[in-house]
Amino acid sequence: MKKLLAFVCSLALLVTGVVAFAGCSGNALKIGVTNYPPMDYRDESGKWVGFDAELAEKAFGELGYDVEFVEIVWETKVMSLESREVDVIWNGMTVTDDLRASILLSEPYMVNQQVLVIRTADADKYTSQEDLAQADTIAFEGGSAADTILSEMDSLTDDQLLSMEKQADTFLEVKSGASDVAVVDIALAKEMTGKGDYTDLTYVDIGFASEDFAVGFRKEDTQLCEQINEILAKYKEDGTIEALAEKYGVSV
Amino acid sequence: MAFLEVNNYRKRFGDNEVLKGISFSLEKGEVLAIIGSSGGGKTTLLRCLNFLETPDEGSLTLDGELLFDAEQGRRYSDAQIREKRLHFGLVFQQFNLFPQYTVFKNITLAQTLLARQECSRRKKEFRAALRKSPRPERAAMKEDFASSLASLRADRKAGIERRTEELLARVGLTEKRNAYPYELSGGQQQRVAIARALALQPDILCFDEPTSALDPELTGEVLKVIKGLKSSDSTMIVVTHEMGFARSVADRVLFIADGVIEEQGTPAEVFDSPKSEKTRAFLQKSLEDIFV
Amino acid sequence: MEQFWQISLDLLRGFGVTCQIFAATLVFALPLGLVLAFGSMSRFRPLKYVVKVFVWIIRGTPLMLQILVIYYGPALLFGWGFLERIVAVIVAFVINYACYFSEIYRGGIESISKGQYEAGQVLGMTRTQIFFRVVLLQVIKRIVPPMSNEVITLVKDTSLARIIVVEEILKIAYDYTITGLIWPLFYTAVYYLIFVGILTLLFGFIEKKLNYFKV
Repeated sequence: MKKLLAFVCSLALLVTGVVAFAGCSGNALKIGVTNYPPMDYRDESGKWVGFDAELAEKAFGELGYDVEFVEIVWETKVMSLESREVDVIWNGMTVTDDLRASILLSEPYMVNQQVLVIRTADADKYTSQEDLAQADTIAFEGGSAADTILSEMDSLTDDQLLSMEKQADTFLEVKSGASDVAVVDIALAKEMTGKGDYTDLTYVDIGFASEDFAVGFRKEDTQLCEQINEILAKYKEDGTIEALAEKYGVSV
Repeated sequence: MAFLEVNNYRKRFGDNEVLKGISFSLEKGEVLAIIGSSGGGKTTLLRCLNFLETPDEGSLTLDGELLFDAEQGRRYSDAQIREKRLHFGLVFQQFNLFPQYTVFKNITLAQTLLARQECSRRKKEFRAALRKSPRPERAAMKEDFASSLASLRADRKAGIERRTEELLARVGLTEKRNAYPYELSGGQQQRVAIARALALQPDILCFDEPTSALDPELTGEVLKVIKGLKSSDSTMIVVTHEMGFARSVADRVLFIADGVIEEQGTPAEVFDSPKSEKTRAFLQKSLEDIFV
Repeated sequence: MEQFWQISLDLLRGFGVTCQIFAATLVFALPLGLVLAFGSMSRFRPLKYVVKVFVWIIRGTPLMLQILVIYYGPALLFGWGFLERIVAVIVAFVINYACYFSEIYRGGIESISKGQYEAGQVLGMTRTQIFFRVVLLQVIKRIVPPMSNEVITLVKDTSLARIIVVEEILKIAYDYTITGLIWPLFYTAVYYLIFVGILTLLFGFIEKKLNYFKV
């Protein structure tokens, strides 16, 4: 029995020993991202690329930071920021009032719009906001901009709304026929429909109000936020943002 | 002084006093039968003798040595209790064989473990001695010890095997030595249990209603084995419901009722001319049970 | 075809992580569960109740929540650093599964009749000897069926590691859906099925091995 106890104790020690604390060296900056093409995604070599990734690397590089991308889970992004798992969130993040209450947001650097993703065969069926009422199920990401828009539409009932974990998951819903429509960011819709397994999907803009993408900081990091605002303003002026948008096929 | 002397054993469980001052003695080679109705305290007495329960009061002397004294009852260490226990053997009503071991291993297990403890004790002693002796002699000492330990091991192993074979023959189960308990009848299992208890050569072997869990046609073979032990001069204490058996085998009979010894004496005294009213009523009732 | 092998390999890499979580959980949780089982059966009341409350909390909350608490908790509450993701996942799994195992052990140990202990005692065995020589194998025989259930559940529970972005097989497959490939997601079933199949055979073998006696 004593031997057993000793064994267990040493195991416990081992586990505690493995505890590796993330170092906080001077100029390293951790940017929270998710797999969210074309804003942030990994290329074949595993390096993080995309519109946001490249923009972030450039902007923080100019400020003298070493940028490290850390993949996070989108639902718990505020927790990731607060716990200092990451220092910044730069991942096609839509500005909402809820978000503004909990974290610090930069000036918008891009305009985003919500669009419908539908099966190509249904293209004639959904052309306006009123047409949404005839869908049996509408998929969207819980807590996203689409969530806000859809829940404010009086013509829709709760039974029609399907809140999902990720925007990307909604494509499978529509393709399989489990849902009739998905509401997602235009950049993502553009990127994903019409290719791979999603050749039979398409997207349509039915005139939802547009919203803004911004970079997120912890509330106390006001100085860093100010610096980024200045740099983004400069990039808008000198065409850097436009060039990147063209490279990744997004509209700004 | 008698071989075994039990002095004023008392035991209570909560508010229920099960033993209310039990005193008796037993000579070497004698067989004591304990009778009485269920709940009277017979089994508790047997469990106290085997240190499965600790009496609240009383003392026990075996062969002139004070083995237990309730005054210090709580102060005995586990190791001390284990050593004292080895003076007694116990055969359970429900056999309690170890199901994962063969008949042979059931009988040898405890002996093997004891032999192993003996060897590791020797090793410890040797290491202590080694530390005290001058360096040049150590190599030779080590060699000596290794060979003496090896021969001790071989000795013990051979001894255990020889004795187990003898015991198997004695309970008539030589051909079942490699069987597992579930393959045996109740009577056979109980005979293995008896051999297992005998293997440690206890001074006194106790039986707790050894035939109560058996079908009537199987009690005979077990009783025959116990009778056989009497002829080899074993000292035994048997709690039993088999009045005929108690009368024919026991040298002395103890009738326990409500936690006290109501009557004791030779079988003839207790069975033929009981003095106590309670004894008479009990014997009358057991007779009726047989014929009903 | 080349893409098929490429993705198979990629998923296999994720499955390696799955197996890592699985193996580490078993290695640590099996003995820890036994310690907890003894704690919950202790005659020392305070220890017994502390262990019971702990087991209640762990079994009463979702494993996903426990993973989040272990990964983010130290940083949010005390401003400490982070465990490596895989370590956090393993710690959460070990604690969670140790609690479930402890209840299975306890059931198994308590199902052994008092007579087995007493038989050992009157034969002069120590508590340790009784436990390891007499009781343990009988307990093992009784707990193999519920254990095999729990272990197979563990294989599939590893997918919860995704919540803190550990690159296990399902996470990798999900990432493929974002690039427009759905089939890798369903293809992961093959990996799980093969692994569980091997486990099922293994447990069947153990059960058969222990069939030589009856309890």
